[in-house]
Order: sequence, then C-alpha cells, then structure tokens
Amino acid sequence: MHDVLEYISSHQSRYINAIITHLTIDIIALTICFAIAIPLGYLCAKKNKLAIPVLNVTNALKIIPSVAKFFILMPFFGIGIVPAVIALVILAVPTVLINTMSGVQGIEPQIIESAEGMGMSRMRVCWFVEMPLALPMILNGVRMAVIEVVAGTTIASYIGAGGLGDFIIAGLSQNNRAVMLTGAVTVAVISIALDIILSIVQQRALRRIQ
Amino acid sequence: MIRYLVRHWDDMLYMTWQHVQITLLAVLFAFIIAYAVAMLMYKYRFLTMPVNGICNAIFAIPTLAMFSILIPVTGLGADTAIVTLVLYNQFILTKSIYTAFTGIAPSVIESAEGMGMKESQIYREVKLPLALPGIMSGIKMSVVSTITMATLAATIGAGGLGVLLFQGIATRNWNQLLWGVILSTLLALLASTLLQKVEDYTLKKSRGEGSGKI
Amino acid sequence: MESEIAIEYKNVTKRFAGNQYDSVKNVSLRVEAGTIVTILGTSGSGKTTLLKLTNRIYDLTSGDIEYYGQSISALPVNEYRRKLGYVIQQAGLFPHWTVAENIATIPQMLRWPKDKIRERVLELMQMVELDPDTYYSRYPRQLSGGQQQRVGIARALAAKPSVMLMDEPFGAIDALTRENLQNALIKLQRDIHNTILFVTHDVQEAFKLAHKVIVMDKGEIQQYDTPYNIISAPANDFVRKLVSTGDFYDKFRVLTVTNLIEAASAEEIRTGPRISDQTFLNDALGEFLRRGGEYLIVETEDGKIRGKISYNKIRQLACNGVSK
Repeated sequence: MHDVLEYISSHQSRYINAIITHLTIDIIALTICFAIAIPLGYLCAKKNKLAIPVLNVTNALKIIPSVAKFFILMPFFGIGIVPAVIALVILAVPTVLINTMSGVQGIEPQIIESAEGMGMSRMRVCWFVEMPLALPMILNGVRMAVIEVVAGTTIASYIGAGGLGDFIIAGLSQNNRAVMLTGAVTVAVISIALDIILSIVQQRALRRIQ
Repeated sequence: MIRYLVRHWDDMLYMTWQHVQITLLAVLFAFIIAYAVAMLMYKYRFLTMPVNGICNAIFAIPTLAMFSILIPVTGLGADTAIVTLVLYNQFILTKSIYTAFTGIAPSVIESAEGMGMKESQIYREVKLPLALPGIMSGIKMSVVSTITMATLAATIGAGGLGVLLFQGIATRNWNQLLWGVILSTLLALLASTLLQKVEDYTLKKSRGEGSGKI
Repeated sequence: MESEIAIEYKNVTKRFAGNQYDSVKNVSLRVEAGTIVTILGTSGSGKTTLLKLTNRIYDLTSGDIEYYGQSISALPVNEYRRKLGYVIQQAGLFPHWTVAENIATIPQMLRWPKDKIRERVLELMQMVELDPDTYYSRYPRQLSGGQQQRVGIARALAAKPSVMLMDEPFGAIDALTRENLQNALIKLQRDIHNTILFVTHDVQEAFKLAHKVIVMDKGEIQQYDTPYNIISAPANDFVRKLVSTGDFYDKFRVLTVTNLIEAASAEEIRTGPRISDQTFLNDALGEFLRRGGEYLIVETEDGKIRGKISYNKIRQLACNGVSK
C-alpha cells in the first residue's frame, strides 16, 4: 500500500493531471448525455410514436459491449478525447433515457389531469409536476450513468484519452503493482464516493415526493 | 474482412468458446452465491440494507480497477476475470432473486400456510414457480452484462473475444477489430434473445397461461 | 340440534410483541358444531386475530383453544390446519394452477387416489355452483372476483373439514355478487352441516348469515348470542349503537325473517303468500303493508317451506325495541 503512496508523491503532477483529465472527460460526456437523454426520454414518455423507434435504437446500442463501442469509433475519429467522449455519450444515453422515460410514465395520470385542469400550461406541468415526481427514477439513471461513464473513461485510456486508466494500463504492461493500484484505487474511490453521494440525493428526492 | 475470417476462423472460434466459458462459469458461481444471499435476505429482512450497500459499492468499481485490485491476489488470467465477474453479478442477481420472491402476492402464501402446507412444500410448489420469471429476468440481465464485461478480460490475459478488440486497436488491424465488435455483439444478442424466450415462457406458466395437469 | 362443541375458547388472550395492550383479551366461549358463527367488529377489534389464533397462524399468549375437545396445540401445526378449511379475502388462489388443481390442493397433499380427487373436485364445483365443463381447467386470472372466491370456498372444503374459518371472504366483492355468495354459503352449510367461523365488519352480513354472532370490540367479547337476542337485548351501549341508530326500523334491516319463524299449519301453507327466507324484516314489513294479511309463508330458494312469519310478531319486536 505504501508503495502506492510513494509512487503518488513522486509523480504528483502526473497523478493530479490524470484525475483532472478523467473528471473532465466525465463531466463533458455526462453533460452532453443528460442534455440529450433527459429531454428525449421525456418526449418518448409522452409520445408513443417517437418512443418505438428510439427504444429500438437504444436497445440495439445497449447490446453492443461497451469496449466495442469505444473501439469501433477509432477508425473514424482517431484517438484521444473526442472519440472517448462520443463513445461515453453513446454508452450512457440509453440508461438515462430509459430511466427518464420510466419515471415520467410512472406518474399517476390523475395527478397530471388535475394539474392541467387547474389551468397550468404544459411547460409548468412539466417543470413543476412531472419532473419532480419523475426525479427519483431519473436520478437512478443518472447514478448508473455516472458509474458507467467513470468506468468507461478508464477504458478510454486504451484509445489515448488520458485519465486514471493510464496508470492501470502502464502498471499491467510493466508488471508494476504500485502503478496499477494507484490508478485502480483512485478511480474506485472516486466511483464509490460519487455513487454514495448520488444515492443520498436520490433518497432525498424520494422522500420529498412522499 | 472475409479474408480475415477465412484465415483466422479457428482462432475466433476458440476465442468465442473461451468467452462463453468465462461467462457461463462466472454466472453459475455468481448465481449460486447470489441465490444463497437472496434467501438469507428474504428470511432476515434487516440484511437487505447492508447487502445492497455492499453490492452497490462493488458494482461501482470500474472493471479495470477491480482487475487491478484482484491481480495481486489471484494473478493474471481467467481466474481473476471470473472472480471479478462473480462479484459484479451479485448486484444484479441478489436484487432480482430477492425481488422475485418478495413480489409474490402475500395472500397466496397466507392461504397456503393456512391450509397446512409444509414450508418445504410451499417453497417448492408455490414460491419457486411464482418467483421463476423474476429469477430468469435476473439471469438474463446477468448473462448479457457478463458477456459485455468479459470483453475486458482480454486485458489481463484471460482470452475471449476481447482479444480481437484490444489486439485490433493495438495493431490498427481494423478487420480484426470489426470482427471483435461483430462477434461480441452477436453473442450478447443471441444470449439475450434466447433467455428472453425462457423468461417469457416461465412468465406464462406462472400466470396460468399454459395447460393444466389434472 | 347438535350440542357438540366444535371449538371452545378458554380464557384466550393474545398480545403481540411490542404492544402495551391485548389484541384479544380473555375470550371464553363455545361454538356449537353445525352452526355458522359470525365474528363482528370494526378494524382493530381483534376479530381477525381471534380467527388466526384458531388455526394457529398466531400463537396464544395465554389460555387454550380446543377443537372437538382436543387442544389445538396437541397436533403438529400443519396436520391440524389440514383439518380446517381456510378462506381469506383475496382468495389467495395459486395463479399458476388451474381451478381444479387449486381445489385439489389438500387432497393432493393427503395423497388421495387420483380418481377420488377428481370426483371430489367435480362434487365441490357443483356445490359452489361453478360449471365444471367451463371452469375445470381455467386459471384464476380468467375468473371474476366472485368466481375466484367460490373456488376458494371449494378449496377449503375439499378435505371435508368439520370447521371452516373465513376471514372477510366477501369483502373485496361487489354488492350483487356478495349477496349471491352469502346465499350460496347459507345453502351450503345447511346441506353439509359443518361449522363456520366467519369474520366480518358488515353488520347486515353478520346477522344474515349467523346462527350466533360474536360481537367484539377492543379485543373483548361484547356479546355472544343469536341475532334476535342481540337486537332485542343488547348487552351494552356499544352493541346497541352497533345494531341501531335508535330507530326500530333500522334494526329490521339486519334481521332476516328466519329469526321470527314459527311453525305453519297446512292450511296456512296452502293459502299463504310466500317470501324468501333471505328477506330482511324491513322488506317483510313492506310486504305486509302492501298486501295486508296476518302472515307470510317463508320458503327457501328451492321452494322448501320453513314456516311462517306473522305481522304481530314484527309489531311486538318493534314495540319492545323502541325504548333505549
């Protein structure tokens, strides 16, 4: 264990850079993902005709193993952050979309009826009624997406995107445990921490609507 | 592309077989463990929170990280991969199995008890058939996600279809890469379709859409 | 009239862990074999608890329950339960078994020979008025709530139990079907002469079905008597409030004509107008007002004569019951 700490202290700047890169990629990918998936999920929940083709596409995407999703982009986009982010977005969108859809569809129709009956406009109903009620399910999708993206970014190191995966790959090829564990333990801790934070947020959202 | 297939079809077959092996072994062990854990959770409800928490935490760890942490203990190769996959599958399987059993209408169990059926009888003839669809659903999800995760096993020398992917990337051999993508996707698709059919069948049976016995 | 005691409760008390009060407090009474006894009370009165103590779903805190003179804890619990029939509100039918398989549950457990089981299933289906040709191989999800409950009753009767326990079995069923099921149950019990303990919170149902009613509140027996006695001589304010609002006419809503039946002469039977034995007294009074006359002949659904009911008796009951 303290080989790891030794390694970190002697390579501090590389270490911190890797973390920043990793998190940056995550944030970019997740933002794009949410921007696409949540509104799309909402629309699909409302309009069945839209839902069918979209669901077919997402189901098809889900079946492709994540590694494949990354690597298939290489011939077209080369290596680096761009294909990584694209792959991550493709990776995470199905999850968030399906959960958003499920959350919105799961709201009792009477609640929406009474809101509309009171004269609330579509936008108001969406923002003040549907979103808060669907939030726990949406957060469920977000939580899973975050974990997938953080994990996916480690794989992205194989296509040169940087991040904590670099340490793991380096450690594997050099047979150096300390390097390997540096990357592994850090990303594991980050991932678990994010998961715990998000689960607390999810619990709060759940309690608020009960 | 075809040329690649012609030249390397035996390797690809072998790798597919490796992949299938890893998946099946992992799911099998994971299932046995998860089933036991789920039964304990079912009996002692207070276990639900801690078990879920642990499984959740394990699941949150990226696959590569998990490999790295386990390698010092179990070395390189298929063993580490299988152990990792077993651990990851706990999350899906324990939840699915637990939910499958708790989802049975309490009135059905109550009437069975009230009529004097023995615990083992109730388990065998009532609970199990009614929980089967949920269990199959969990197995389906578990197999498909294991196939996906197993592609990473190539990075630690366990073989499998991931080899095509990672080697293809490293050597910029797009044919190899493409075959890796195709085969792994096909495998996942095949498993998903087959198991879905099984799940649908058990669902029909449990809801009484088959034919009677007497 | 049989005076054999099917179930006897001796100082039965039940307190659940963590509670500061008894759910059932010191209940002692005897249920005569061949009678329908309804247990009437609001939620929390202990009525369902009392029933579940009888088939050992709950364990007694103190006291004893005897089944035909034998303590219910003498036998292994599963063996004991197989001697009773048990019907609950949601029927609890096994969704993955056919109607026939559901009904045959206990006989299969007892390893009856196949043809005996089949015969019994057909017999029972006739008893609960479910056409075997249609329903034998159907599945519960294909049946309505009322039909499911009929299957539940048939299933409970399969092994010919002497005692049947029913926990608000018609609670989830629409009013029309419920009436049909109640009538079917009365007819059934009259034919096979078993003992039924029937929990309900519906005053009319309790009084319509029962030979005797156990009125419960807060875990204690408020009164245990025939419907007629409870109406004409309520034991305390709680019972009084339960069966009336002070208006004598209201009392007639919960008593059927069977409570005031007298023997009828052949002449009366020949000439007298008929009413069904399921008629409540308020409707019977209405008949008298419409037709005039001194008496009505009471008959069962299949036309058997049970006796007569006289206008005077109804008047008497009204006069007696007026004072508070």
